[in-house]
Amino acid sequence: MQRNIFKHALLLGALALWSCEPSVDEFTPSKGTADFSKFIAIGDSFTAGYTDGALGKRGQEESFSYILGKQLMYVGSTSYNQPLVQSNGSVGTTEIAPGQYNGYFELQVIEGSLAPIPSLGDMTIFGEDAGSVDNQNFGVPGAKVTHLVAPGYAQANPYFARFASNSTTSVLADALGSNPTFFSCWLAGNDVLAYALAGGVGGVGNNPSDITDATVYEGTLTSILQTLTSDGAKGVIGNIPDVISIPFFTTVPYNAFEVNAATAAALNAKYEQYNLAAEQMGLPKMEFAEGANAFVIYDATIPDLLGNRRQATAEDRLLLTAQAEAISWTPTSDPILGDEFVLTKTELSNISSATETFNAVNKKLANDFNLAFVDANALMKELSTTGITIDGHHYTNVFVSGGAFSLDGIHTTGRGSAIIANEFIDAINAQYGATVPKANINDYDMVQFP
Amino acid sequence: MKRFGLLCGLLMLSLQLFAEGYQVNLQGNRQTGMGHTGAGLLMGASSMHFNPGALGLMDKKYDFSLGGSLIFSKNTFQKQAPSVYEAKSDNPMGTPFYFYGATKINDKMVVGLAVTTPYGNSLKWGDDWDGNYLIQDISLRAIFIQPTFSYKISDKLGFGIGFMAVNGNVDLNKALPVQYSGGDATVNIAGNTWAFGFNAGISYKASDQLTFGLSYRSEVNVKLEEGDADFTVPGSLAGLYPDTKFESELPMPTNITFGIGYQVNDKLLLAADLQYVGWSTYESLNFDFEAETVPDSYNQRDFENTMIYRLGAEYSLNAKFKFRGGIYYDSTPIPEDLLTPETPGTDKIGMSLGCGYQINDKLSLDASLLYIHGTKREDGYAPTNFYGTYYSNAVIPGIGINYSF
Repeated sequence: MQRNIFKHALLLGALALWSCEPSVDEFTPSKGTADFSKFIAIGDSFTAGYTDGALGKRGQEESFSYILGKQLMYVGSTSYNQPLVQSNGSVGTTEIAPGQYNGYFELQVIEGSLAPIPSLGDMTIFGEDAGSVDNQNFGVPGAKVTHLVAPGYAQANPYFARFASNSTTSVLADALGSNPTFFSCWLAGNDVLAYALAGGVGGVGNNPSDITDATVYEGTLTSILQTLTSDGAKGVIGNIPDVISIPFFTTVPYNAFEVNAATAAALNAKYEQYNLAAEQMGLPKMEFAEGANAFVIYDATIPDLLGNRRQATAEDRLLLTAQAEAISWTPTSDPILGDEFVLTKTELSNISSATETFNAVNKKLANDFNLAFVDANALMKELSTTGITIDGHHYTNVFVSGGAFSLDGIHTTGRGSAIIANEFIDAINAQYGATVPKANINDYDMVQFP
Repeated sequence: MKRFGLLCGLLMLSLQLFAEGYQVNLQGNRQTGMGHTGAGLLMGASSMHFNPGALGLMDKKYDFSLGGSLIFSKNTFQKQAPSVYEAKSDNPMGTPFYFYGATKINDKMVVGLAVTTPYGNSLKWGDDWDGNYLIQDISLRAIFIQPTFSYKISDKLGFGIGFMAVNGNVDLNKALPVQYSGGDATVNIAGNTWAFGFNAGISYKASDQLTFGLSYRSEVNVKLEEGDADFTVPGSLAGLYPDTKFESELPMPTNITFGIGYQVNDKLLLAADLQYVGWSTYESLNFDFEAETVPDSYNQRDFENTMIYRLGAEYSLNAKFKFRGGIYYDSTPIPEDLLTPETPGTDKIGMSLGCGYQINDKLSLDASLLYIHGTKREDGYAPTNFYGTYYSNAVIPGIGINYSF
């Protein structure tokens, strides 16, 4: 009897203990001094969810603004509505056939090696009416600071036309109409990136490929922030990453021009006159040998006599598009990379000084308007130098395999977007004494391998 | 005897993380009931594990002991704040066991065989949990087969030595940060091998009441020369990640235990053990893959030597019944910033209860119940930057039978 009692007690005790989980200290998210009840995001392609060279639903649901919007739901936000692409497709901005734009790039095995190949874009997306009074994502691919305040911008940009409330409104007016209590404003760089993407063919001004005038930049951004905060909304603002930290400008080496012995000899013969003249002018000669050589590039600063051309150096940056251009050369081609494929030292310094100027403005305005400030430039710099290790993976700016950048070499993967979103959350938490929970980076996608 | 048949059927199932690191201290239900003390006690055949020196002082001609435990363990991981992420492991039940058989050859000499499972670890976090690039699940077990010889130098002094043949088995899965069709690539790593070591001990009976013991169990370096690594990767990378062989090694560290047994009176026996575990031998876990395209993997561990402090008591209610209780403190060998979810160690407190029942003059039963409370640990693994708070506990009922004559 005594034994039975003991046995039963033992069994019961074991069951009781077995069912008890370790007790944990629960984490409680808090909004601090901010009001996240109506969050909106305003900005460019990064905010919109552009990825792999196109806008589609997949990217919209992995954009930094979507991930941020989702995390803010732990601290009072109730929704994050977007002008979602309704078709299953996607659409980009490169015309790959008359009237036909690209869709998402996809990684494919071409002749034994992996290459990003554009799919066909779904042109009906531009005709979609995705507008709604409940919209919270006012990111427009291609938008510069001046575009956000331009009435009728929908007529110039089909990505805005998809969700603009009418054809004469501005992005800012629509954003303000949603009565935000909290906003993110990140213009990741079209004000300099557009110039860089065009290979530095523009100047300073309002043309599509120009760097925005610094005074205009400051004035416009000031008025945007004034407007957004006029009803007491708080917010977060990001600065501009230096373009040289993104794979579009770091992937193709200046000296990846592969030639055989015969071609090398032919090129050396072709540039015999050039080299004689260059020597007299004290300019570098052009020389070729079997194997990898520096590319021949267009450079307007080289005298006409020398054909405005020279060989690239380590101080030049070739655009990602240079790769396809070089592959397209035939034996009869004149192998030269045009202005649109190269950023020369001068162009790079135009870019970096404009970036510095704009970022100083961003920092100053963040202070003036008491906004949380995200140093996206520092984040991208870290990614492109040491890389960033998070939860078991090391992210870098390496094209395709680095994990953070999508197949267009400019926009982020879902993981890259989540890394940025967490940076925004850190800034918000610091500025407003909040504890917005961070996103799990590993919940999002990287480049998909075939 | 049916129950023991069942236990034997479970023997080959995986073991469970129980003591710190991947050591499992459950080698006798009598001892487990007493906080797993035993180096300073004279416990017949089961002394082969605790202190082979005490085997020489065995008073019966034949002594057999067989038993096992069921480990129900829970681990909870909370991601580093601010985060709402929480994961709970779904660990398979661990089933460590022991068998001891010993006989006196003559008045001075005793020989015996011990089969124990002093190392093991089995954790299942799940395929899609947030730390899946570190580990999805792991099953590690080692079976020690130990022929032992013990010699009674005098009525007060026993010396024993055992040879340990160890069968080690590992099977683990982890995800790889390469994606295809929305999922991660994975690798399975598995292997089985033999390794060898020895243990030795002396037992000194200072008086009828007081016994001292010192035991040494050598390190066993389990070296796997032909493990199997099976990669599941996207087709375009299949050429770079073929299924291949690998080399790796995992040390089972040295244990040195000093124990005291004190028979206070006819009813009460007290025991205390001080156990030193030489974990610093575990510096890294490396995988050297045969295929040249598969990068070798180096994982820093740098464990530190630890001490376990144990106290136990046994109270004889009458000639048939014994009640036992014990407590111990087991400090973690895992240094700051090197805490992985594969071995989420923390300082642990173990509390045990047990009882013994003498069925007749030959047969007795032991039952024990051990509760282990892992202290909350907020830490992570710096090389892969995976941080959070780990919580753990375990409930371990066990039963054993002894037959001696």
